[in-house]
Amino acid sequence: MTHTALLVLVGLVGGAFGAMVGLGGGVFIIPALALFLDVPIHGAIGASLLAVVATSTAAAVAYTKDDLTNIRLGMTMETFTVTGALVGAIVGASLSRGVLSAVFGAVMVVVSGYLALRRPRAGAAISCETEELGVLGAEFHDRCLGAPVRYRVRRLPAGLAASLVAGVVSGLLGLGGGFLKVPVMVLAMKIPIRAAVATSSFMIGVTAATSAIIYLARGLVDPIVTVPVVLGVTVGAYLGARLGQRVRSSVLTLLLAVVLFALAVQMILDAVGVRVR
Amino acid sequence: MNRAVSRMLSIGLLLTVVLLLAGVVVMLVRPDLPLLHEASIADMPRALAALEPGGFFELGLLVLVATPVARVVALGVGFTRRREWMFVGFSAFVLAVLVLGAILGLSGS
Repeated sequence: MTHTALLVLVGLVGGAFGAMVGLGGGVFIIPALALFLDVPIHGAIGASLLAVVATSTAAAVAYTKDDLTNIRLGMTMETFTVTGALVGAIVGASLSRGVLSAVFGAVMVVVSGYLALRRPRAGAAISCETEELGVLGAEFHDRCLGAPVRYRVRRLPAGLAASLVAGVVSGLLGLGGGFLKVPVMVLAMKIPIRAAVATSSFMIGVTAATSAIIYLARGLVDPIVTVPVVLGVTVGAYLGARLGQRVRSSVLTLLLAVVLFALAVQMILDAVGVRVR
Repeated sequence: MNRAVSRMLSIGLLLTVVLLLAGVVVMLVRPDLPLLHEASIADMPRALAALEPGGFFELGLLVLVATPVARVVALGVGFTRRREWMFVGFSAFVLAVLVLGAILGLSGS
């Protein structure tokens, strides 16, 4: 019973943090299950995949209702992510997991440091009232500012390239791909962090669902582990999405930097042969 | 469109939670029924017919993974109604790749 309660707790925390920063929560859930709760690594990955789908769905319920999710941008980037995932599934065997982990681990250290230390110019992401928002631009009400925020999507090719790479590596590294998309949306495409988090949450469920159905069909999902985690994640992600809208953007950015740094450390450990994912 | 998507996702999620909790209740009420450590879709109809907790868990998890896929279909329909053909194309493309990926993944087992 204590074990089950701990599984629910892991899901609750992973879902809440994942939903707040637009990631699936696998960065926390897989090591927590494998290292501290003695769940075999395949069982942990299976549970995490289902948890990513639950985080994405529960967070998207809250974010989409509040118009934070940019559905058109999400669908556009999704085309590249799913293509990347398919490419990754086909060429996966020829790519070295160790080299990929080392490269992305190093990139994530730099990105997390940059996110934590940068001083964004006030209103840099906000378009002026008269600017044309384009097909993919959008507007939402920022509860924290108490004002509407309008934005235009910049450097779309960079976002599409990041989506493609996120798709390729997500299957190989057992991740949802939000870890690449959220920083690229914020730093390169100049999308406000709240909209970037909401749109990433919206997308990662589709990426994870493909892998999850294969795990389910092959009987690789242990319900005794997965069900408590999924129930915890569902509640955690919904609360995380609600809470995320009430904290300042600067706090969200710092939280994202911390989570990305934790992921980078895991990737670098993975590259030198210490598997925690 | 955002409201409709949110409503659809919440229905999928609610159904998932109800099925998973039903499995937990059956598990608590009938501890004598078997519960396997491997959830398999192939075994689901038999487990459900026998009212085993595993059947509810498998169906609940299946509904969970089907929810984002159903969302892609619903968006395709939504964009068609609005005559936004570029996004109809994107939705159809994502759905086609998802189906292809699942077929490739399953045939590799």
